[in-house]
Amino acid sequence: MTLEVEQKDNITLIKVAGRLDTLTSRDFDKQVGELGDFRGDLVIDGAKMEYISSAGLRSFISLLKKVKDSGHTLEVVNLTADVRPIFDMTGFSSLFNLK
Amino acid sequence: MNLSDKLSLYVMYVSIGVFIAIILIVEFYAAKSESEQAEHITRLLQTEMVSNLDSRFYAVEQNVKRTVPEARLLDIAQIKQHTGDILKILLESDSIIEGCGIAMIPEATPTGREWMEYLCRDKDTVTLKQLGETDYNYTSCEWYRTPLNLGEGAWSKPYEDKGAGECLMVTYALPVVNASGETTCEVTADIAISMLDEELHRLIPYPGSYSFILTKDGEFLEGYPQVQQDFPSFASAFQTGKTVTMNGTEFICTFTPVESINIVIGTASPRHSVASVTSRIRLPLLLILVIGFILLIAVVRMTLVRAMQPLKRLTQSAIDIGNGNFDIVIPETRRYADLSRLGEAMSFMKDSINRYIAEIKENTRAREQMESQLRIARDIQRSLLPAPEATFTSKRLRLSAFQESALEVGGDLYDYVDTDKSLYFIIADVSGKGIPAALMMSYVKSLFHFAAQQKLQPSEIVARINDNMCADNPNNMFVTLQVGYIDTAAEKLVISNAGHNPAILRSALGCSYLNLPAALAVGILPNFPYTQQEIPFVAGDTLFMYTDGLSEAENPQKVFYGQERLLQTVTTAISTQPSTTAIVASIGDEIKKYSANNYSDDITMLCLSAFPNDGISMQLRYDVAELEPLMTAIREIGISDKWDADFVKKIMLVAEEAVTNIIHHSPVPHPEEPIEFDLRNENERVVITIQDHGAEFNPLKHDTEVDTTLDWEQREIGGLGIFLMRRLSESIGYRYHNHKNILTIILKS
Repeated sequence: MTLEVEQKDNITLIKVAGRLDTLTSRDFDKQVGELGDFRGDLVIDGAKMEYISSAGLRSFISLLKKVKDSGHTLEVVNLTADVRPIFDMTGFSSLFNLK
Repeated sequence: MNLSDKLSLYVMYVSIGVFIAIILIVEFYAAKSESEQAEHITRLLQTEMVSNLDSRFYAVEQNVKRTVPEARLLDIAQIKQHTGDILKILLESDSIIEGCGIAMIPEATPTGREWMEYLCRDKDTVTLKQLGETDYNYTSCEWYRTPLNLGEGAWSKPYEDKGAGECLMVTYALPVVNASGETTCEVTADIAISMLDEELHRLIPYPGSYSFILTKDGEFLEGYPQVQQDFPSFASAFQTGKTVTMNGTEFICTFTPVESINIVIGTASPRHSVASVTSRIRLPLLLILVIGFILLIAVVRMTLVRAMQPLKRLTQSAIDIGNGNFDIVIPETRRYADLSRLGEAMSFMKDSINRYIAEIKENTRAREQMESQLRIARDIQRSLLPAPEATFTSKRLRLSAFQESALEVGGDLYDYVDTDKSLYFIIADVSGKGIPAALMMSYVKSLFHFAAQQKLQPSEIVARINDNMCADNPNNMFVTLQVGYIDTAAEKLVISNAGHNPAILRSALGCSYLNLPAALAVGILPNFPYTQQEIPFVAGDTLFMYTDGLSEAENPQKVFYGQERLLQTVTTAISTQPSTTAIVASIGDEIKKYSANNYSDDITMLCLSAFPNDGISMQLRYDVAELEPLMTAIREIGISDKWDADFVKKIMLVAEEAVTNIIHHSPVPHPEEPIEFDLRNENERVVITIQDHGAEFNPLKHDTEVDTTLDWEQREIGGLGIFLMRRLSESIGYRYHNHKNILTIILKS
């Protein structure tokens, strides 16, 4: 799992690549935590995500709560066919306003 | 019985003996000497009396003789005129003379008849008597006849006179010869025996003594005091011996003869008077002895008790030492040299024990240090060996090893190196045992490891180990070994042997020893040409290697386990046991049973098995890091079985959630036993079975349906994993059996 973070105006874009599972979710939490407080909305680009398990979902929901608490929005975009069914299955698609 | 009691008793016995001896000596010797003394004294008194009597009788004789000249002058006629005067003078000459007379010799008289004139005392007056013929026939009397026959004066024996003196008397008679030589008459003087009473009275040496006069024949005549009936008994002593017992009193009798008048003077003294000194000292003596005896016993007893006191203290000290109190001070005993030596000996013993204890402690400490170092060495050696169980999923190889050392450290080695295409392995047995073998073993291991990583051919690896060992092997150690690799893709086993026990191969053809060419053990001959063999090795085949600790295990009857029996055991184990781990474990149990758990050599086994590519069998630790190889295995089986990528991801997700759930949420995990993950591809379905040894934990029980419609603020973080597992699988089941949680998940492609 690798993260790529881009800052555009007030929007933070996080590109997630690889597997987000039990082994990598802690790494994800840590790296996201290091970004500090959010001064604007957050967008996660899942174009290169290969795999997500419940641990990854939990990381997403923690991040969502943190972002909402700071009064901003979290949007997940470009989910692959590998990951999208999991989001649909768990109701996360609506939670993250997936199109 | 105590020593002091016993000694007291002995002293008492000896004292009583001495006591009795003293009494006896006093009684016997003192009494004896007293009787002798008494006899002596009595005899002196008697002798004095006798000499007194003798002198008086002599005086009587002289007085009688003095009358002779006058009597000689007389003829018969004249005598008759003058006798009265002569006799009167004679009678008055000595008061002892009771009576005196002149007896005519009848033949000298004209008439030829007896005629005698006799003057005797009659109270205060004197009486003159005419005797002879019928009234007093003196010629027949002994007093008359004896002197006449002798022709000189003589005393008669004592006799009872009748007709003249009328008493018991002795008579001195002196024949008178006239001028013509004819015996004309006899002049006589009588002494009454009773006249001797006065003398007898003086002869009383002891209180209660008797004095008496006997005839020479022992006939009693006179005695003092006047207890007549006693004297005949005393008289008998004159004949028989010296002592007489009368009325219970013993009398000592002493006799002295008075030769002049033919009598014997006797004295009888009672023993108790004689032995008066003995009787007097008897009571004080007894008293002194008894007191002395009591004092002696008391002193001995006291001394012994005092002497025993230090012994008692020493005894207590010995008990203390016996109880393990080695710091006590042994009491000093200066009073008795022997006890003092005993005390010193005990002190010495105590000090020695303390010294030995210190030495033992030191030795024990050194040994413990040695043992601890050996344990460390054992741990290091253990850590040099790779895990005894390993699964190489991509190579479809499973490996299990077993090793037990006879000593802390051993010379057996197994090792394996996983390279990209092949799995290299080695089994080796260093000659000898213990630390030297262990050091050589680690050397061989590093040589193998390095060579295997360079992917050399097994014969080259063996040759390299041989060359290195031969180059520097001053102790001439050698190693038997087998080195090889398995290439599952090429379905082959390449193996090189160096004097090691033949390996066993189970293939479709059966189970048999690998017939490899004989070759020298390494470390003996440099440049030995080792060879290698290539043998087909396909899925389902098993290779079993071992060290001689197995084939040469001995039962209590010293019989080797043997190659034949080993082949049978291995064949059975491979065909019945489900895994390589179970195979080596069951063979190990069998060997232990055979040798009654007393094997003298290191035992090592290495078992390699190629499994068909129809599933996954993995043992996972309680660590999420284990997920990585698991995911790799699932991906690989997916590739080889040409599964759909989505299906593979589904399997991965279900496996991850199930395993993570056990690792993270098992209430009481059991990390000693791995989590067993098994995956089978059966008829377009995948069956996953996950077993763990933790406490009973049903993950489905707490499974609350996740409400996927809730807003983010209400969404629970937990429960998603179980939810996903349920949604992605066709069925999911849980049971607790044989102390294992068994979770079975079936997925449909």
